[in-house]
Amino acid sequence: MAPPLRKAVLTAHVAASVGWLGAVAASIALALAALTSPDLRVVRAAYLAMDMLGWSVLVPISVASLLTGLVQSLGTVWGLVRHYWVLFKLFINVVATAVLLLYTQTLGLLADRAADPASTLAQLRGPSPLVHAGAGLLLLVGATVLSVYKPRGVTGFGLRRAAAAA
Amino acid sequence: MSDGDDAARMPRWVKIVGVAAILLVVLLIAALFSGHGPGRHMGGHGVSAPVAAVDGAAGWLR
Repeated sequence: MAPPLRKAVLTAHVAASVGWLGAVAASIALALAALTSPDLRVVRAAYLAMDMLGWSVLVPISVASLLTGLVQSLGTVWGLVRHYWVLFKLFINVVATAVLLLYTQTLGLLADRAADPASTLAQLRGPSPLVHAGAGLLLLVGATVLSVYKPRGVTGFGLRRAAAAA
Repeated sequence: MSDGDDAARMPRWVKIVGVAAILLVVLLIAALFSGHGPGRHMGGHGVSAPVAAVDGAAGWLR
């Protein structure tokens, strides 16, 4: 990739990935409100907001992070499977995106229940959104650490490519 | 020991993170196969989701 394009893709990847982290942090705040607020209106609003946040922000930026990461790695010397840190970031991104896509269905059901005027506080409360968002935050912080520190370690494929190029 | 041997050796952090990654995958697969799928963990102190809603959400499994 030419340097200007590489910088543009890197900027898009960092923006999407950091945005994903921020959106998950916002989800944790909403999940905490849904779990702890004594006000039924706040709990209903939190579930509806989590559903909207999932489809309008989390899903698009998670896919954007994955796609820009693929382009960035395949278009630079880092490669996709040459360095362990890149490989683990790919793993984290794929797992987090897959779980998020599955969990949006649960968020939709929770939002439907929250929108039902007959639902009670006891029916709405549950730790599931907080547990999932917390696990997602840990994974994304791990990916951020890998990106910044880029710990050493070349895969067997990377070693063979380096030997062939030498 | 040569630099080539050092490069070929898998770093300790890779082994640790690799084991954690395998455990995570096993946990996710076990959770999915034990019925912890979309709409199956809605809290509410044991209150079930409406059957039609759960059936609709579980359509992706079929």
